Amino acid sequence: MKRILSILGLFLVLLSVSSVAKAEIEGFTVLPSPATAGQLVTATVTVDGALTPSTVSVDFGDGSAPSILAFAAVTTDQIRTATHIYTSPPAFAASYLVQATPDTSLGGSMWEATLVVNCPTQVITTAALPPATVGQFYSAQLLSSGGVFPVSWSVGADGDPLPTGLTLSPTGLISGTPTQAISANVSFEVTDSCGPTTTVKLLALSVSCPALNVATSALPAGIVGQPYSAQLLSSGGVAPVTWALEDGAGFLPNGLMITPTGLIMGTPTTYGLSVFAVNAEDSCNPVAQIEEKDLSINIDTPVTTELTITRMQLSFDNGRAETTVSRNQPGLRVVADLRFDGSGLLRGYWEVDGRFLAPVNQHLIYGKSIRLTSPAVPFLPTFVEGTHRVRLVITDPENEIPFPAALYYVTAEEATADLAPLRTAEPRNHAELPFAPVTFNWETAGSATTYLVEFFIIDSEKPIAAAFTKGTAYDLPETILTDSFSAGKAYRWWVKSFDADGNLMGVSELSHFVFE
Amino acid sequence: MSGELSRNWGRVVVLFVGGLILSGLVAGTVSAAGIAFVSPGEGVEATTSKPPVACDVGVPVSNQNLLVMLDGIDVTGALDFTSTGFSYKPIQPLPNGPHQLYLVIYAADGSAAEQIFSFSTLTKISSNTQISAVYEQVLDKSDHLHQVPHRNVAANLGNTTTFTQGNWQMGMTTNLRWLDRSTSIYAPEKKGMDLVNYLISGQYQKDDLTLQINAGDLQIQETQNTVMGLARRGVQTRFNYKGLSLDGFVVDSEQLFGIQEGSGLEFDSSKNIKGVSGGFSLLDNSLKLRAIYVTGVEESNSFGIYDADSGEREGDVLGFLLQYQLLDGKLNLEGEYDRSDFDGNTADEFSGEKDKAWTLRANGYAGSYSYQAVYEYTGPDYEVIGNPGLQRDREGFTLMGGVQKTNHALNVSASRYEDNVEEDSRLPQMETSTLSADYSFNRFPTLPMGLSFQKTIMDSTMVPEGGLSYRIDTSMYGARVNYLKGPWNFGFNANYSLQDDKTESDYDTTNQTYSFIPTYYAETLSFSPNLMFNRSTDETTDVDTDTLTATLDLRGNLLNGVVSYELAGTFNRMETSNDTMEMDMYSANAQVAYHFLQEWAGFLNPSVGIRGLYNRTDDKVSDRDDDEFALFLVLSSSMGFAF
Repeated sequence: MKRILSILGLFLVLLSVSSVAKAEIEGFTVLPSPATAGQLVTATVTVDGALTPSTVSVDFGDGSAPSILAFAAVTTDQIRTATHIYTSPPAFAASYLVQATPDTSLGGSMWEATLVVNCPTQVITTAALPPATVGQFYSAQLLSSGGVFPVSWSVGADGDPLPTGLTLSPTGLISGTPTQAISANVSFEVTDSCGPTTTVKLLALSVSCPALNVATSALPAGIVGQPYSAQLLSSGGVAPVTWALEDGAGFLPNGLMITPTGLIMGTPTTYGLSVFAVNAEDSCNPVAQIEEKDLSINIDTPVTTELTITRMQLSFDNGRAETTVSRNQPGLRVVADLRFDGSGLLRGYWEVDGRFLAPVNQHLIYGKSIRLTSPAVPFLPTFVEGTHRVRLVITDPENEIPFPAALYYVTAEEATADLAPLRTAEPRNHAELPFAPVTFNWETAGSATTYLVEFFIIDSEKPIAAAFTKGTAYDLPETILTDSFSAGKAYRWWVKSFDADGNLMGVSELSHFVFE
Repeated sequence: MSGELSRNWGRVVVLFVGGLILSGLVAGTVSAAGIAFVSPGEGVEATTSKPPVACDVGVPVSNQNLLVMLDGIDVTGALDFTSTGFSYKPIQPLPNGPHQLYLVIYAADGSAAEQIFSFSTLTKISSNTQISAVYEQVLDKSDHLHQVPHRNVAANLGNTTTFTQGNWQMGMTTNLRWLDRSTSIYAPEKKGMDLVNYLISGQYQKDDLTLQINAGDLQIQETQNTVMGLARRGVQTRFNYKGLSLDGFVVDSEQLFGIQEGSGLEFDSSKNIKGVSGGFSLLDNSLKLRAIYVTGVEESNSFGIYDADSGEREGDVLGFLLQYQLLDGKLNLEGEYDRSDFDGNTADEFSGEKDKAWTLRANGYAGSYSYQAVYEYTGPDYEVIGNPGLQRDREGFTLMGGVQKTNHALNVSASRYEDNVEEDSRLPQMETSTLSADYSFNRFPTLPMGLSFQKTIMDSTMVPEGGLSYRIDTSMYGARVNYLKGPWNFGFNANYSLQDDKTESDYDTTNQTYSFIPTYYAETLSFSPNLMFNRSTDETTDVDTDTLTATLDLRGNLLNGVVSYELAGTFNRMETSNDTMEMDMYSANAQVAYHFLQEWAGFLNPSVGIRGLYNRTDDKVSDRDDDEFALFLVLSSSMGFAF
């Protein structure tokens, strides 16, 4: 019995010793099989228990570093996985030997599995290309899927070449500015990095010219005898656009012509409405586009046209658009000589240094130039020294013209001119007087010390008689009456006032009288 | 003026006749021979242009028994009387040369004694210089008021100098200006120094011969259809000998500002307008004949001028003018004939056009009545360099008449003109007829009033087949009345005009303006508010555009001019009846200055002042309002000296 127990005990010891020696890799799978480049491959290792912590090295056979799987010291089965992605194989398909090698703490031998790795299926996903327009920059990206990057694009020999002006980059970008209208079926090839493999697809690429339109819808009116110029405008199309009068569709007004660049120019010689058609022909290749448009030009005479300011000249009493005045100089005014075509209501205003001074509203009638004078009240402001800009701004008719400016400079020297009015009193204006000595009177609230009375015959600027006096009256002596005046004739007279230094202070209005 | 009067009086007073007719003068027996010419003295050559004139008559005289005329001008009322004579200081400078003092002393019985004295003045050189400077510094201003400079300096030196030597006289008038500011300056002004304008003249005069040359800023006046009112920079020469005259000029094509743009003396034929004219007079100046020739090129746009026809023009004109005065002014005849060759744009392929113009005119006056009749023809291609105001393609007449009575004055005119003077069948002919009248009622001198009326009818004839006829009637009515009282003047004006478009477009417009302008002008205060209302109506759309404008101009001084103040303000309201526009604009500019030294050192007048400006625009339609203000410190000074 003792012997039997000893044998049994030995059996158990052997049994236990034998059972420790059996901790080893129990299973090894590699899935999926076959695999595809770029696809995740999983290697699964099963160990049926271990007495001590141990590891299994999994080598996927493509030269990459092995994956180390760790197992704990447990008696139960343990499963560990290692993942790997095969990149582009050297050929369309390749076999790899996947090995699972236990470390020394595990028993058993190395496990192996053969895995076939194939290249993926590559597809050009671009279904269609957007249309291109001649003369306009074009850009479209070709797309593919399934292939192993990087991929390279090219134009295949089976289809049409790319339209002129477009290029294809290796990254699949079609770009450039097409120069010719065409519809092409282009064979695009994409080659990936697996294998490599090449996929081909035929895509239609349409290049068209931009639609040509005549943008000009109306032409300005012209005036007989005055130069006319109007530019026809187009939109779309391919430049250059050539313009011409459509045959059999009316005539331009006499005196006008149209240039190939679309400029209608000349000097019209007849008036009235001319209806005609123009055509615009672009440079679309290979077939030009032609667009036709019905237009008209109304030629007015200078009389019948809308009111238009054709000339404006500003001047002071020196005839120039510039003058220099003393501070507080009264009565400064500027005149605007206007030439215009047509008739109508002129509206505008006088401004000084951009500041509104006085409105201008006046009906104009064709046939003569007109002179507008800035107001007497208020006259141009002269109490601020320095340069001032005065303009006549016309608001109606609407003008986009550079209204000229006149400049007046106000010095710091105080004007000697008197603001107080100097008025002739007796004889009254247009008085009919007996041919006899008469007293001339005037009135003023100013500070003048001396006055000069001057007499003129009508339409003459040279005085026939004159007198200085300190008072505000002058008795015309009989001597001067008989020597310088005649009965039955009309005369004018005025008075000038002076300060003590002889500076002119004021001048009255001219007054008329007749010696009967 | 003085020359004319001297000749006039020279015919009256031939020789000294004193001593022969004297008897029973005011205070007994004063003979003309006893009158002493104290100053300047008989035959004396004075070296000042305002020589004191004094005479010792020997007895008391007054302006009741004395007539004194200096160069034909009655100066009796300006004499200072002494116990036995008088003295007189000329008010205005006497021109160089001989002068004549004519005296008449009246006796109680009506007889008179005459005496003539002679003297001369010779001022070799005289000069008047005015220097003015102003410095403005912004004290405060709106942030967005960028166009107002923080600092502004301006100075001006104005000078007038004449130099006389024998029969020669030289003159010069200039304005030299210096500008600087902290912002840019609008063209044509420039920062720094510039000779803004100048005129240099030289003259030789002896007996009936006058030679003259002027250089600088000129104004050329010839005839209506040649050159009229041409203000340009250049050179002008004049020659006169008795009734014969010969003039010439060369001026720059453009109106120039400042010497930096050109002196006008470049004589570049491609940038000049030049001309000559000559004439003579006969029959004691009653018959005058003149010929004018002008040629050159002209820029359409230059300083102060806008022209829609841009580019360069070229042309020439030859004109003849005949004037004949008959019946002592009762009938004046004038005829002008001109031919032009004008290219409106030298850059185009078209050459110039030749055409003609002519005018016949008769006018005159008799007593209270005056008249004028004009017949004019201007060809369709008649245009002239230097006279852009001409209306071409026009033929017609104007008749005017006027009567001026004590209480009434009436002027009427009627005219009829037509275009398309060559009756081109491709064009209509437009006839324009105008009737106008202006009446003044002067019964009350302090309440002058008047009415005016004008009717113009434009009607088309010879309308080509397919063309549209044209007719526009324009009527204008005006009324005015003033009330004058001392320094006050209350003015009221009302004007109404209607333009009746009888074409298919039927674009009728009316315009009415009412203004009330009271003014007060006195020695130390002026006050002139102005209230104006205007309504213009587009009768087609029945839209009114109203403009209400109120302005105020107030200025004065206190303390004998030590303090001066000024205020200028404008309120303007514009609105349309269709509510597309409603806008108020306000602007004000005010200044107070302290003239702390007057004529310091005899010629310097400095002052310090505060100036403010305020502008506001309130656009009620777009609900936008903007306002801006600026406050300035102003330092200014002027100085003047003359010799």
